[in-house]
Amino acid sequence: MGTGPFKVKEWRKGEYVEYVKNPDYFVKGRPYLDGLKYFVILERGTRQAAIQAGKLDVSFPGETSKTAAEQLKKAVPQLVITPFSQNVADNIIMNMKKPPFDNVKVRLAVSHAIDRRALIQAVQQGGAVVGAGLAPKPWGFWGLAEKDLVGLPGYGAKPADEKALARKLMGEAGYSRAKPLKVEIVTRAIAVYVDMASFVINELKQVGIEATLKQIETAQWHAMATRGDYQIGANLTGVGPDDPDANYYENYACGSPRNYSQYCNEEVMKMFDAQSQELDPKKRLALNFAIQKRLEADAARPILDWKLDYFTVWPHVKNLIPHQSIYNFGRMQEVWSDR
Amino acid sequence: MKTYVAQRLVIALLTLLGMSMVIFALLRLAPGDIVDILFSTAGYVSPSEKQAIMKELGIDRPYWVQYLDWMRQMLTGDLGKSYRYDQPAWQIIRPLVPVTLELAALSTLFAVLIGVPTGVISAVRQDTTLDYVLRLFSLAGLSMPAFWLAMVIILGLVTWFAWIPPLSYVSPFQDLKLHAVQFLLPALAVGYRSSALIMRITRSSLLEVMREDYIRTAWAKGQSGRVVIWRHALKNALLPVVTVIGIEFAFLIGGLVVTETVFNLPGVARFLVQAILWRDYPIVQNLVMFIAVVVILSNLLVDMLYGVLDPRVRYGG
Repeated sequence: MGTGPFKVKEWRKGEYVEYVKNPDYFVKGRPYLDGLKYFVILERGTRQAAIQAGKLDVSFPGETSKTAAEQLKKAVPQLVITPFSQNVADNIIMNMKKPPFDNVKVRLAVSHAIDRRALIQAVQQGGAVVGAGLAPKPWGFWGLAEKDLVGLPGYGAKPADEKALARKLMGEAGYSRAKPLKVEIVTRAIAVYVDMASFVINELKQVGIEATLKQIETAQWHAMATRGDYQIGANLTGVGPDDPDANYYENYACGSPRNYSQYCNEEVMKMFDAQSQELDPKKRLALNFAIQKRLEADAARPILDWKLDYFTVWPHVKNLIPHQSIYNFGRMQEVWSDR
Repeated sequence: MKTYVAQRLVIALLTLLGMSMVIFALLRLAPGDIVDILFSTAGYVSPSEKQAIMKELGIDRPYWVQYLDWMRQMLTGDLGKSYRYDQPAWQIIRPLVPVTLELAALSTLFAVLIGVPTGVISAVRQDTTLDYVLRLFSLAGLSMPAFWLAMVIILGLVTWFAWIPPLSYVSPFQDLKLHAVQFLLPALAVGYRSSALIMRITRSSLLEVMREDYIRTAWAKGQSGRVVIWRHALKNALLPVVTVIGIEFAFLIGGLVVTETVFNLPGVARFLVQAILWRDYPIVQNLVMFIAVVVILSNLLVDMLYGVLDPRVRYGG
């Protein structure tokens, strides 16, 4: 507190936070802007209208889908739109401490059932890419490329074959058309979560899993997931830096409160440590590929896609450059306005 | 008339007391509290620390003690402290109240200004083309949810004029014109739906009155259409209309959540939803109580208007 380029001028709850330039900022001559104002706009349509009308200069990172960006560009051709990786993955969390998802066959059936490519087209309108535990190139560095995903659950060339395999696994776990698995799928009550969850429910239905959707408000979501008060969930996971350590130890390590599936595998933990200590970049990359394949094969937290953002700014906003995730370019030190 | 008003006031106070009990009980029946949310979000629960925070917030005490404390606070004008923001509840609630009251009042005004005249015209010109057009207009209003209409207004403005209303609240003392624009559009969106209801009630009530003997007598006496309709018929047809206006206004106080959200207005309804999710008891209790007071006051006003409009009500009891 107190060392950033801006300081708080006014905070109106539920309306906006306004900042002014910090005159004592330790970098001389920065920031360029006299101030910033972040508006709280709950409604997605109003947010988009606000940027289109020029009430906002910049969209919030992670807010603009491919379709929205296309509509904005059509309405206001001078808007500058930059696609970049959110470093946020759609994924499925399954509580491994409770039946039926303590059974790896049921978890794998879920993973096989969900057609990732169809999800990307239907829900993300093409604004996402397939990948495993880490974001793939060119958006990230460590992730498995699409050709490396072949053979992993859910990535088969023919979705019908994947679903047939899912039904077979469900049969082996003791479920059938006459005796379907009935579950409650939870998701956060935010549009991007609900859109994805609705698609997942439809996919699961086709392999004999009858899921009903329960939306959880943000205030309760993390608490619920951390406590493991759920069976299965449609989740989004964001990672700050594109680094394996940041992701594995937070989301897959034994005992981590953010490891919502409560996956714990000592052998995989050793693999995490090995890649972390490996100094040879090529060997580290190879170790990471092996880990990601293992995590998908265990259905630890099946990854569905890596989302892209279509970051939108008005042309007078200069030097606001998206990085490799939605979390890492909010400092605004170098941003200036040509208005 | 004094007895009538006194009776209504006593009933209003008793209703408020009952409401306070219902609000208090329902809030405690909801699973989880603010301490659960705070601790579980942090990923761990330390029973001793949890107990300490519960004690600090006063929610470790028996329910009846908490209820009496709340009543005492309300009677002394102290609404307690928000659990989430650690600020006096009144300080948080105060800026929200005028926003919602103004929006609800403007919406009701629009609803009356549109609904009553169109209802009268529709009744007087029964089964003519004009009547059908007006009925279609009101049916459209009833069929369109206010939030959808609000979104269409926003999209229309941005598409045709590359403009939308301000994104944060503009005080009338800051910029009266902008303030008016900020409220007129959502008020029109909400008022249109309410006007449809008022129009239909006005129409059916007026049609019923127009078939009464005394109206036929008025026509037979050679009185002008304006006098017969506006002075004799409408005054007697207004009782159900006034009831509906009162109900609509009361409904709007708590029912503007989506409109406030779409137009980004910091009102009571939008904030109440957030406070409920955080189990912020002082905020929720007092906001719901505020809504209850407005509902009861508007009902009281409607009861008074009955007395003004109909002497039988005034002298009947």
